[in-house]
Amino acid sequence: MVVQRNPSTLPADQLADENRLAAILELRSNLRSLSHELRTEASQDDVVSSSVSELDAILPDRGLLRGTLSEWIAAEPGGGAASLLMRVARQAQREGPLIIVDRLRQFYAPALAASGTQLNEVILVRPQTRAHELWAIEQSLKCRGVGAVLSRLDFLKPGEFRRLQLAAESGTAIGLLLRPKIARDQSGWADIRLLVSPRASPPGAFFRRVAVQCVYAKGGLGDQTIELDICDETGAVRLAAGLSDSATEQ
Amino acid sequence: MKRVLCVWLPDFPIQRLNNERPETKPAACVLYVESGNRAQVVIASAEAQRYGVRAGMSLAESQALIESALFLPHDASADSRELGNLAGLCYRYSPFVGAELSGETHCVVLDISGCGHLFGDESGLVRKLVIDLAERGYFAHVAAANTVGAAWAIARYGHCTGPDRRLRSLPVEALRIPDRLVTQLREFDLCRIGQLSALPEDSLPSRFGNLLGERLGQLYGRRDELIVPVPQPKPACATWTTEESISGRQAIQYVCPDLLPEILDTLKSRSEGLLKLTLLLKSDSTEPVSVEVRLARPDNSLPHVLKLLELKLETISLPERLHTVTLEASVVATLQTRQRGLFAELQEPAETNREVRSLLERLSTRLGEDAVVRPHLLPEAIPEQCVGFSPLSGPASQALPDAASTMAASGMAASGMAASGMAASTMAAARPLLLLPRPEPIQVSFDGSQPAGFSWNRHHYRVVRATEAERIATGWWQNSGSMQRDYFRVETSSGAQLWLFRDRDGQWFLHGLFE
Repeated sequence: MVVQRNPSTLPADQLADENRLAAILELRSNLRSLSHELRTEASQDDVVSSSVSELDAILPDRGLLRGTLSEWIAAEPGGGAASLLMRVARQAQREGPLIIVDRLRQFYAPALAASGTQLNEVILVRPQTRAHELWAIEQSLKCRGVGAVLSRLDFLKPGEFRRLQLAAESGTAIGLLLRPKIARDQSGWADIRLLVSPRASPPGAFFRRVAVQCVYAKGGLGDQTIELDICDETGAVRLAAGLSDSATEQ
Repeated sequence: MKRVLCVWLPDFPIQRLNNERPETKPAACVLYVESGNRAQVVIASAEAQRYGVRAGMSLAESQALIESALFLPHDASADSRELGNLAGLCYRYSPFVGAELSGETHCVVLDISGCGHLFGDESGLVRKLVIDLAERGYFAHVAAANTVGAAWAIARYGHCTGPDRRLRSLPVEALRIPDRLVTQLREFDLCRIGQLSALPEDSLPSRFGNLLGERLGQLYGRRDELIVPVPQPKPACATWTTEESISGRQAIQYVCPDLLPEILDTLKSRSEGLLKLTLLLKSDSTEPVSVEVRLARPDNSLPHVLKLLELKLETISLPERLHTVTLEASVVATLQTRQRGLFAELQEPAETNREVRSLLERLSTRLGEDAVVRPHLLPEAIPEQCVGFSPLSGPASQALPDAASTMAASGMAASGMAASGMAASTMAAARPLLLLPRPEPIQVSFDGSQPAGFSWNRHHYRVVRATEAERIATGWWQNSGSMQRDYFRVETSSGAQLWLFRDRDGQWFLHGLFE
């Protein structure tokens, strides 16, 4: 049997305690959006792994959180940023389709399929103008049920970036922004900012080497760098020789 | 071989009444017709029949038998209209649909020759049709046979012949002959079709008239019988006209919300949803402007369709001085209804799928159908031609090729790419993630036969490593003509990897980035 108590009949000190508790809960919920510790505590299930444990290790959540943006800055064209980024996109496809907003019409389907991405779960959006491109990204990020939204964006005004971040927060997708080197000098609203730089491969090697630097991570330690070797033949990723000698790809 | 499907709706006037007025379902119903000063029962529900009420009985007599029944006048025109609607529904299953409305037989006849495979097989078609009718609240007996006569006979009388379902075991009533003729045959103890078939065919006209021989011929396919098609339902359409011309986007946006519910209500009554909506704007000053909105799946949600229409109107320049606005449901399809699950968490995937579909429709409407696509691989040698794109709006989106099957069909070396990680990775090594829409010419310096450096985008790159040339060539018979390219994957001194090729004339191009 449920006994309902009228709050007005409660003792004054008990009422004050309840008000205090409600205030604490409200403050804690507000803090969740700011404090990394509390936020991740509440949403561990929403983490998407990059499938490379060394890369996950430098990310504060051991992966990317759904409903957030991450910037992947390519230090140089052809530097390997997208090949790493596609690993995250592939993982995110388990929860919904991958939407690629590709104004420049450059993403190449055979390579997408070869990277393990399921083509029948890829939706290419090819807007004509930059305004349409931003609108399409925003709409896609807002939609619940989308796994990941991927786009190449050269320049973003702070207001535009903020809009995308708010859109991402209201949806369930992870926003993956592939950006040029110039974006490193711009302010951003992404939770994670990674700089991917190519490294010269050792002579005779059959893999390519990239350095990944976590330039900024909300609530985590930034400025951590790792070097990864990406095998051309198998697609396996491992920590560059000298730092580790074991294959570590998950 | 000709195949005919007959759908017999027993007690159709009662079924229609129960569907129109569900409160009459539990009650015993008697429908009567008044002629002069006499009222006669046309049909009685099973409940009323238990009390002895029969068709042809006077209304007063039936009222004496069962007082608590619901006595209603029979509306034959409403029966005819509803049977026409059901015939319209049957056009989803066959291009030739006819209706038969005579006496107690309310039947729809479909020519399903060559239609079965569209639903798996003939029984799949029949199952789907029966489910469709059941969703509309109708119970039917259905039979498929080689002739209209046989299909009708089995649908109408096949269920009461016991285990022997052969045509010859059916009663003579199954020949669609008048009651007078049936009585006449029974006087000669001719009760079964088999007994009639045993008689010499020439002797029948002189004894029973021409109709009996004709019906027997139609039953066994010796005589042709045509299905007279029922007119197909017109597309739902709503028009708004004004003497004072209007202009501006907002004016249209006020008119459309008034017109659209009219169309959607019509579709709802047919259990259909919109796939394509056409807005026609007629103006005094310019040619009529037509605006089309396509949906990925049938839908009749007013806010969603209105939102799509608004997005579409934003992308076009509207004519001034409009005097007529017409909305038409150009393409419709059966609304796909799904039973609600018991547990909310099991509902979630369907709900999220609906949201994604809604997103795709919004994107397609505003950006254009060609701008929202799904890629699939094609069996072409030229890199820029080996990808096809399927639009994700409209009915075609429901039959998209599966990626794995497409790859298999393409005959590519990595036909099992989706399944095989090793093969997939090999392809990754061979093809860049970013392919320039048009190859960009570059200046290349050489070290022997290998490229040693090149200039692109006002930067000079020193090549430290290059793969062996991969030759891609096509024959003269190809649409694009003969082509020959030698592709190299090169690594620059900084570690960047790019995809270059040399054409037949020795000119070098940058074609992709291994980003």
